[in-house]
Order: sequence, then C-alpha cells, then structure tokens
Amino acid sequence: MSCFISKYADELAKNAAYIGTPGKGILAADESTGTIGKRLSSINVENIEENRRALRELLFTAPGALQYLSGVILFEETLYQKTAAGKPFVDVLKEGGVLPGIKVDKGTVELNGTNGETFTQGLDGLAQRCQKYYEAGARFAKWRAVLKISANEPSELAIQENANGLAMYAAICQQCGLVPIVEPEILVDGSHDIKKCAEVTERVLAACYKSLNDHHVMLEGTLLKPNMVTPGSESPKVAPEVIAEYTVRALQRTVPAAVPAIVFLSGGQSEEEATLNLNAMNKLQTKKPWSLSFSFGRALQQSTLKAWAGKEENLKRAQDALLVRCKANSEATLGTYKGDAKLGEGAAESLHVSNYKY
Amino acid sequence: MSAFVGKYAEELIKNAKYIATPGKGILAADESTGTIGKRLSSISVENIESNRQALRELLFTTPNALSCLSGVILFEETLYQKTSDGKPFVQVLEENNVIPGIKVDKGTVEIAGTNGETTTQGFDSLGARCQQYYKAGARFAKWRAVLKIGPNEPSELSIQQNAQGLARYAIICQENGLVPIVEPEVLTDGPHDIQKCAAVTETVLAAVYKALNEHHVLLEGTLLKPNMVTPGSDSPKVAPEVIAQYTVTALRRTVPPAVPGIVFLSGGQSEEEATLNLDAMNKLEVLKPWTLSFSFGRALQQSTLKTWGGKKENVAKAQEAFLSRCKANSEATLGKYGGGSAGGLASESLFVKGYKY
Repeated sequence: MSCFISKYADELAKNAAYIGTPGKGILAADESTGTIGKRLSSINVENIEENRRALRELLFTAPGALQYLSGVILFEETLYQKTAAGKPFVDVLKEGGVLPGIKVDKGTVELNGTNGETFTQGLDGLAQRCQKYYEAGARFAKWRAVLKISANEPSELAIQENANGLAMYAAICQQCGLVPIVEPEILVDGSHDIKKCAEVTERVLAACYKSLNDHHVMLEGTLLKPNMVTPGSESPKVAPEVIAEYTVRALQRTVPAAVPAIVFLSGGQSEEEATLNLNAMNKLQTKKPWSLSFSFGRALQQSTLKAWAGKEENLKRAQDALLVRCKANSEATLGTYKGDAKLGEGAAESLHVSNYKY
Repeated sequence: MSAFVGKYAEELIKNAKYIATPGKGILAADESTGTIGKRLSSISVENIESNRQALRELLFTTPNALSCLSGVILFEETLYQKTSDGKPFVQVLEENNVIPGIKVDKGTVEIAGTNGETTTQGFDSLGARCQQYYKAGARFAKWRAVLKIGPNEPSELSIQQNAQGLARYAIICQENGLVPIVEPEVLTDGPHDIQKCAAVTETVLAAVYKALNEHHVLLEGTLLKPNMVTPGSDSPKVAPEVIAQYTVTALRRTVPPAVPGIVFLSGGQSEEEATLNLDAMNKLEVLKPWTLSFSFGRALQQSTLKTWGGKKENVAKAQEAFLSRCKANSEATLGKYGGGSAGGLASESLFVKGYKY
C-alpha cells in the first residue's frame, strides 16, 4: 500500500468506524486550562482543578447522555482525573461505550512574514506522549490546525505548513495506536460569502489529503473534523439547506471514501444552528460515502454551563440540558431532528468570538 | 467554488453522468493510424483508409452492441468518416445514444534525464482543436499519460509532469465543452507484486487529484480511466477477487466521490480477464461512490478483429464476437457476469511489452 501499515491497523480502522456510528458523535471536552478558565469565569466559577473536575464529571455522568456519544476528547489533565467517588473518567466513558480521546497539540504560533497566519506545534516527543496516552486508555487524538480567510489568506505557505503538520501528527498517532482526528479549521471570521468559504475549504482539504497520502497515513483509520461551509461571520446568514449543499459538495470534491466519518466542528455557531445544519446535511439526497456527525465543544456545552453556574443544586438541570443537546445532535446525524429540542438558556445564542483562540 | 464553472458546466456534468450509466461503458476505438496499422497487419490487412473505415463501420453497426455502450472514443480521422451508405459515424453513434469522444493527445515523449519515463504532448492549439471537435459532435475527450514501475520509477518528476499535464488538458477540455477522461496509466510491465502496484497507483492518483484541484477542474464533469491494480507482467497472476480488492481500496483512498464514474483501461489483459476483473469489482461488497465500468480497446476488439480477418464475408461473425464482448462487459458493470463468453480468442493475453499506442 501507499500507506504505512501500523501494527495497530485493524484496531485503528475498527475504532474510526465505531466513532462514525450513525446516531453518535463526539463531545469535545478538551479545553485547555486557560480556555476552560474563560468558560468558568463566564459563569463566575473559579478556575481551580476541583471545579474543572466537577464540570467534566457533570458531563460524563449525565444520565442517558453517553448513549449518544461514540467519543469524548479530553485535555491531558482530565485523562487522569476521577469522579468524586474515585472512578477514573476513562473507565466511566469506556463502560458507557464511549472511546476516550486526547488533545495532543500544543496550540498555535504565528508564521513569520505572514499576516497573522499560524501553524500548530506539538510534534516534539509526540510519539512518546501518544504511547503514554494509549496506556492511559486513549484511543484517538485530536490536533487543531487553523487557517483564516482574508484578502491574501490563506497563503500557500500556511496551507502547506498546516497540511504537513496534520499529516506528520496523523502518521505518528497511527504508529502508536491512536486514531488521528484531522482538524483543518478555517475560521468563520470575515466578510466573505459562502462561495469564498467553499473555495478555500476545497483548496485546504485537497492539500490535506495530498499530505496525508505523502506521509503514508492509512485513511481508513482517520477521521476528519472540518468547518462547515458557511458565510463569514460578518456576512448575512443563509439557510441550513444552503450550508448543507455547499458543505457536502466541498467534501465530495476532496474527501476520499476511505475516510469512515466526518465530525464537524461547531466554530462559534449556536447550539441550535449547529444541530440544524448537521441535520440538513444528513437529509441531503446525494452521495455521502462517509457518515456526517459532530465533534462539538461549545455547541454541546453552552446551555449546560449556564444551567450549572457552578452550583451543586443545579446538577440535574445542567445534566438535563446536556442530554437535550446530545439527543438533538444524535437525531441530526440521522437527519431526523425536528427542531423541537427544548431550548435551554443560551441554546440559540451565537458562540462566535472574533479570532477565537483556544 | 474552487472549480471553474464555465458555460458548459451543466452539460459536462450531464454527459459525464450519462457515460457512467450502470450497464454501459466505453469502446476505445481511438487507435492512431500507426497503431491500428499494427492491428491490421496482425490479420494481414493493408493499412489504408478504406480498411480503417471498414473496421470501424463493422464495430459501430453491430446490431444491439451500441445499447451496451455509453461512449466511443475516436481518432481524429474517424470523427469525420462515414458508413459505406454515407452516414457520418458520429450520427450513427448519436442515433443510438452513444456519445462520441475524441483522443486529443499527441503521444508520449521521453523526459530527459530519466530512465525512459515519458510525458504526453498535445497542448499546442488544444483549445482550438477541442472547439472543432465539439462542432463535429464530440462531447468527451481522452488523454493518456503513462507511468512505469521500476526500482526508481515512477520518479517524482514524472508523477508531477504527468499529473500537471492531465490537469491542464482537463481544464482546457472543460472550457470547450468536452468531458475530459483523465487517464494516468501505470504500466503492468515488470516483476513487481500487486502491493507495489497498489502503492504506486495510490501515489499517482493522489497527485492527479491534487493537480486537478489546483487547476480548478470540475470533478463532477470528468471521468477517470485508471489501470486496474494487478501484479506486474512478470509476476504470478492472482484471482479476480484479489485484483478487485486492491483496486477498489486504492480508488477509495484517492478518488473523490464527486467523480461520477471510473472506466478502466484493459492494458494488455485478455478479453476474458478484463471482464472477470471488472465483474469482481462490481460484486465487491464495499461502498463505491462512483460507478465502475470499462473503456476497453483491445479487450473489446481482439476476437472481433481475428474473426473478421479483413474479409467482407466474415463481417456477420465478427459482429457476433463483438456483441458477445459488449454484453459480457455490460453485465460485468452490474456484477452479473456469469462467465463463459470466453471463446479461445477471448482468453488470449494482449500484453505487449512497453506498449506504445
């Protein structure tokens, strides 16, 4: 094969396919300490380990929620945390039929000579770290590359650097038994229209899959986490059906059928928007050889966070809110969401933050 | 879009989709004058225009054969030829819902500094030529790039040159209303195993689709004509199911779902081999977002040619042979071929070392 056959090949293919199970998706709960701090401060909760642990316990033990999830992405600290009763989170997830995943990148740094474009770091010692994470129970990984649309962006340099970084990360993960989620996020910031976003997305994805091929990555053991194709944040919104059409077409033109599943990022869309868009895609009658699902962070947790507000007495309300969003998105992966989820506080609220940094 | 959407976009998409109709495929009858000469001489027939015309008339007027075909690739001379009754070949095809296609490349030349690797020529006035061909009734084109497997081949240079050439040809076609068939043939010559062929095919196809994206080619208005993934010509043969598995895996890893159809070249396989392999691919229980069909030259015409021998009195029998292969391949595109249409001639290998069109 053109691809390197890792000793984990069968396991990688099996896990990637499982994550793409129709009706399930991923909860992205891998906010770094700094980022989760911003979330906690928005509900006036102190950013200490106990509170971070309590939030994640709230999420992972929400009754009935895990059945709608095939994976949860964790930050390194969380991989080693336990419930208040002393059960490792990793075990809670596994028992619920959910694969634990791990964020392995170390954030972005600016590319010299560009207009604020970035590449992602984290390759140093990555193999050793992946091995440790595998031992701790992780079975997939995530690495976020970021590109932006502007007058002269994304530049060819930014596209190549990020595609190459994603491919190197992916190859290393596979050698260590972790399914790499490949995430080339094109930020929604800007005044461009949906056609421009489509054009850039197609160009970026084509570069990613060329790099993955160059680096001998086994596509059957990977997942893609792209942005949906939408108008820029400063442009008029369009209907979910339009987003669905442009998004699926961009994917048809670039993502080989060997990739078992595509798990979208929500990138600042409100909880309800993200669900409606995903649903529209799954209703579309066209060729989709990969399943289309979610890997949502903010779009799964926003109303949960607000309902919790850091107070133990709000636990049930908060967990109910999470269940509502999990169920809605599960239906969206099947194209059966009727738009009738009880909207929690903030579910329709845009989560867009200009030039968002994790 | 990243893709160029010109005035022919809808027509290109419609025609590409039609050519990819399940149950149909392409007859590659675009042998250049020199190449058809070799075929004719193998049956002791003189290479003059009337004989070339007679052969193609035999093929295109075979009763019921055209219903198995969605397209026929022609050489330039043939595009302007007529039946002995005076009906243009193009009209014969169109009346039977077969789209005429045209070979537009001008053969290969060696790339200096490589070990016999080649690039394909034909860019000069290509746009203008495509316009002429469109006026004459052609609606798709074909351009053959050739790569070989060796200890150091295919080289990165050869892969890039051929991929860029295919992409540039493709966009020029689309600008002028012709659906480009993209043909990156990896030759079977060599002692390598099927895994090696798979690795090379995947690398080549990945480069081709990257180039098509760079050149803004509208994938929905293209077709792919690849080699099947097989062991090298000097290696032991394997079963059709194995060929099917490696081939479809390679395609699933590289060919975007937007491409409506994949029409395999036969590359020296016998008529029966080619049919059995195509059938095995269509029987494979795995998700295939494009149709898998044929664009066969030798593997459709070999026994027809031998049966004809250039003699008028053999035309009817020759046409029967041709119909038999058309039907067999039509069934193979549906995974319904039962085998058994292999006369002795149909099992004859058509492999010629270092084959040049």
